[in-house]
Amino acid sequence: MRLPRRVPWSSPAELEQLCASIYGDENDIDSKIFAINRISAWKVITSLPHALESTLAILVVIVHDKRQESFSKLLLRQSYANAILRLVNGLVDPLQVGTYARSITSIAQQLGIPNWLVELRHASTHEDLPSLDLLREAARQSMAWLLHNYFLPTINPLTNALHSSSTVRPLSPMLKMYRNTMKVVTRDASLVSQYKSKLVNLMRDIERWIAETKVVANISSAEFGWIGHSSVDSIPLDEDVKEVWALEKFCDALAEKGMLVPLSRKKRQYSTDTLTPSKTSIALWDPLIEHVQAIHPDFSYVFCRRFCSILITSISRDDVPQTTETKNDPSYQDYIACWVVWMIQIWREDTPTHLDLKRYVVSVLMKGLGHEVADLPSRSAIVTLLKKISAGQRELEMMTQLIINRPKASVMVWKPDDLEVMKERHNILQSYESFQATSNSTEPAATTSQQISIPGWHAMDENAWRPCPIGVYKENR
Amino acid sequence: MLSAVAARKAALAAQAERQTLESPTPSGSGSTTPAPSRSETPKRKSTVQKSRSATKKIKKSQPKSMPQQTTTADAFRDQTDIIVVQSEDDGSDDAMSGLEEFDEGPSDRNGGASTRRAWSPSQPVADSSDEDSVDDEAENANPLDISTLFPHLSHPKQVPTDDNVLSTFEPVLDENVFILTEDECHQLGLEGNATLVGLDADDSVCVLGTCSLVVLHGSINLLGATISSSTVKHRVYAPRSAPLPVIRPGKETGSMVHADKFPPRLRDALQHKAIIALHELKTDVVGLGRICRTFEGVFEPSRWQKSSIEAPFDIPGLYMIRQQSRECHAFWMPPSWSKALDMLSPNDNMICGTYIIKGPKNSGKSTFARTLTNHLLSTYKRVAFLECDLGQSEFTPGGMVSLNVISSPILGPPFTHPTLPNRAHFIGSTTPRSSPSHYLDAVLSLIQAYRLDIQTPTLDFDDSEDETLISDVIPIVVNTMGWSKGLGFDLTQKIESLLEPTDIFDIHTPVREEYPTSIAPVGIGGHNNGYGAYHDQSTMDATTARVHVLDAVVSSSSAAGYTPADHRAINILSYFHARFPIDAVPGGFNQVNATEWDVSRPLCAQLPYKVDCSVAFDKIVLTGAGSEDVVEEEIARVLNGAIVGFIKCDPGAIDVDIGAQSSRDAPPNDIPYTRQFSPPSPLSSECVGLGLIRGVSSPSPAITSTDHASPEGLSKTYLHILTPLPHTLLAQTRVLVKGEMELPVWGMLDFRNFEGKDVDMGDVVGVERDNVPYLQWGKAPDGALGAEKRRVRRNLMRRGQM
Repeated sequence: MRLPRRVPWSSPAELEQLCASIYGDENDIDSKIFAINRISAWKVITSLPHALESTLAILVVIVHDKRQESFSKLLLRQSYANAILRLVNGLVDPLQVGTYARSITSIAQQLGIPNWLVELRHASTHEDLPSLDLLREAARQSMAWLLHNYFLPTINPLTNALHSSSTVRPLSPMLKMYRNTMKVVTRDASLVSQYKSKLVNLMRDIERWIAETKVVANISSAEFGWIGHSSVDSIPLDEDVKEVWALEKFCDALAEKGMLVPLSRKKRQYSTDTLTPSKTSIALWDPLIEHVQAIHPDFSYVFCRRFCSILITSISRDDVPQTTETKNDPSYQDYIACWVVWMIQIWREDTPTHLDLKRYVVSVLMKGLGHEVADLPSRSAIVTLLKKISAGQRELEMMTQLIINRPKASVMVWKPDDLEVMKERHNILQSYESFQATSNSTEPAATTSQQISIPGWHAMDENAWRPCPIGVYKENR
Repeated sequence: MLSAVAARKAALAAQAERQTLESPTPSGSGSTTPAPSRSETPKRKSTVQKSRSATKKIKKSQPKSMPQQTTTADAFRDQTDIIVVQSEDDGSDDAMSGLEEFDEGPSDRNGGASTRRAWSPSQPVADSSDEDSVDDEAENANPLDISTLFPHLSHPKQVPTDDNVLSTFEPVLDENVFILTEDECHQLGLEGNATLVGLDADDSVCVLGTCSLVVLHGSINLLGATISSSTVKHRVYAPRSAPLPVIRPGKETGSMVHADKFPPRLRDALQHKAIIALHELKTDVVGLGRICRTFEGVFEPSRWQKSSIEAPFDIPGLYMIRQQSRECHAFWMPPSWSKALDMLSPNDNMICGTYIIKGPKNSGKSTFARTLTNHLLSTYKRVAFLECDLGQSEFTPGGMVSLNVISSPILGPPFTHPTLPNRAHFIGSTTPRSSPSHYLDAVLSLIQAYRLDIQTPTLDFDDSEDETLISDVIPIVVNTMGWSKGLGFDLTQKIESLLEPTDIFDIHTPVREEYPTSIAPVGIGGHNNGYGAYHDQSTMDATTARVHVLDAVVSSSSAAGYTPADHRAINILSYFHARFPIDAVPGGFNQVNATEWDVSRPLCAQLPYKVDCSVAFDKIVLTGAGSEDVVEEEIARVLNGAIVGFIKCDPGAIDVDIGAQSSRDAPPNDIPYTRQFSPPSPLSSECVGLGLIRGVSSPSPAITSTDHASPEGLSKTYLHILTPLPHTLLAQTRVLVKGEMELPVWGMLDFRNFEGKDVDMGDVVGVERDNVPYLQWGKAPDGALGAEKRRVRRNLMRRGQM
């Protein structure tokens, strides 16, 4: 369960009422003042969505401007400029998700903020303060933008899958360039210094691509189970989901032929005993993999999952008679398996993660294989991969055996862990019972209401009041 | 789910790595702490660097055949050592020609320990680009080894060490652990079931969980406190979210129980240097973990540790921790701390110590303040504690500055001892940013109160038994906030000059070499070019205080994955669930802290007080940025669900001119609120505690409309208030102040629906979760932009930084 967010309105209807009073009649200043008062009060209750805060700021200036109260127009210009630049900054800043700064214009474009507002932001911050005329128009535009991009979608939530269709720019040219550069460098180490800035730039471009993709990832987040130590702020979780999505896209690009897996089958030579990619491949790609890993801690897991799923789909396709030529390519699958092994290898010095990753891969494969596959072809990449990974770990070896030699009847497998699970369930049940007992025992004690001798204060008795959510006033008369 | 779990694992792993590097520091820096090592003074090279260069040396001597054993050398800095051959390249494809040649700054993001740090957009990236040594050999080692290009990628070696042993105590039943029978307990004057533990001179016991503890023989040290034998029962709360106490025998000898009172079976135990009796401590504080899930099960070993943790004392809920681990960090004093504490001998002169603790956030200020207080309590009968940190207060929930007089050692994190302050002022926010002058006034008023009433108590206590302790002077420990830059620095500086301390404890974190964030700290009484906020020149005189420079310790709670926000949440929830003794009155020199909590029901199901707003209160005040714009019509809305401070004012301190108010305008309700009314001055008021307005009665619409017609026909407004405060305190308060603090979301939920029943998950007392007012589940709808709170990034890297 993810924590909900505190909002100042008791129900969305209140937000709708506010929206109506803001956008209802342009010349109805009283209703705008009502809206200003309402948002100001909300702001004191809890921190507001950025769009609402900006609405307040712009609305206040508009009302002041309409009333023509200001003694100097400079005040108006400053207020307008400040409100607009804060609007743009506040919208753009949360999307600076990468490690490196992206240009505000490019983010604004992705958001659909008019370009000239971004220019106005720059002018207001660093250049001459724009003219009142321009600023008034900007305020009008901003209010319209807020209506269409905040109020309407919030009040009438549509399940629009259209939004996520915004395109991601292709990654493969970048990867190709990276591969070619690395080829040069690995062949002649003396060129390292010459090409280092290219490589550095490439790494940064790739990083930027991941950041951009994260922005595109507009995944409606489902529930994610209790997260042990999430702070009260739930935002990092959203970020995680988006990051994983972006990394998945990145892995897909890596898995294309010609990237991690060389195009020509001749070059797909791997050492059969360690099951790792060829030295050349490693030399080419390992720096990139480790670079991405250094920035995204989840990368190994995403990588392994994605690559395993490639293997799994290839297997299930085998069942289907019309196998596509591209997928039915054993050496490709073998090579993919090699990379999974390599990814795990990277962590060999960090035992807990190393083990965890191994377990993870096995579990992903188990889940993926499920009950569908009756028999695994013994020569398949999955089997070799499983054997390789589980070698040396008894627990994993057992699991692998289970996958490979499926028991005829689907027997529940008894693992030592299961006892733990059962114990835990038992404990939960127990604690629930004991809790019920305690809550019952305290009940009668609370009913005896004592009188308070403080003017205005009354002790309530249990019959006059029923539990209700915080913020609800309930009294039985 | 994968990602969150994985990220957490990664963060923990990163810590573990760092820990092993950093040992004997008993705690790793949190996944969020930027500097790779914080336990060093800036002058010295950090341990991480040292060990890193050490590993490097080892690597160098290794055969060069292993391409992965990369060194941490920074190839980009070594360009002089590389012969640049401008070759017409062989295999370069056309794509190559498209590459431009930039020459940007060297890539010097050397990852080292930070390699696996969970990168989070709101945290600075740990890019300590201080790799200054040159390692050129590796360059030519293997033509395929280009990982030197990206030095930040190399993994730190995990060096297994055994320095993280926490408990050396080897429990042997009936040799140093005795499970007492009821008769034996009775003989020793103990109640209930107890376990006797005998400690030898070099034994140490690190405990997790809760217990109460009586020292029967000798003395023990824990958390900086020395507890000598007495009949006093000490409650020890040791959750995983805080540094775990390590019990060691102390120097003092002497027995509270006469040797022949010991049952014959136990006589042998007297050979031990110290004997303690442990009792089970059944406390509802554990139940707070059910309410605020972040702290679930903090009083027991984590799930994956459960099998390996011992519980040798036969006391439910008490465990012994042998090894430092990711989840368990023991309390550990850097040498600079113990040195500083040793210098505070009371006999050098009898002036009363005034101790102030300064330092950046997360550097261990609170831990040191607690340790110092405990240390002083072995000399003084009482110690005053002035809390100036609004975010994480030791004794009260956040949002107020408070003065507490402490008489028993602090053996647990703040949420285990909510205490009624002897004197406090309400700021209403977790930072003084919005009201710095009010904050300073409040601190000043507390300092004055201390000097006048507390420092040298006039009345004589009946402390016949404790003749060893000094009771005619009460020293003061002042903890400051972690906001130590900019305005925060000036405020702390001002507090320091108001206080005129005798000793200053300045915790320094190592300055990151790349960005010297703080210029060499300004000397004491330093001059800020004369522009310090809230300063005038006269207050900038140099002080005569002794300055102790302390090393920072890495916050163990952040290492265990807890953020300051988590701690704030549990502190507030602990306060509202606490049960203070109903007739207790602090003030004077009593320490009143809660030892019971009512965790059977969530806040939304607890019976509130019904308060007639206009009768009970003279004034309701809003404070905080933007609060001046709240109009009278909206005040009921603002108060609903708010956390408020109960303020007691001196007579006449607040201007209650209802007549003037009604003559100007018809008030829409009878809530005594006027716009732009500033909170009462700290010099003539004080805050007794907090309350939660859980509901505000709404005047029916019909009445509101007639309101304008007849100002006299005001509808009555009732408030439903939850507060743990004793009635005697409530009776004195006539003013409510609402600040920027909010009830944590955990407090609005119904924890009874968290577990077991998936269907009702998130429902609150029978209301379906989507209909619960003031809470929004899930993300903002698709396509709504700007629906999130504003977020600030301070760690974005620009072009050229990499």
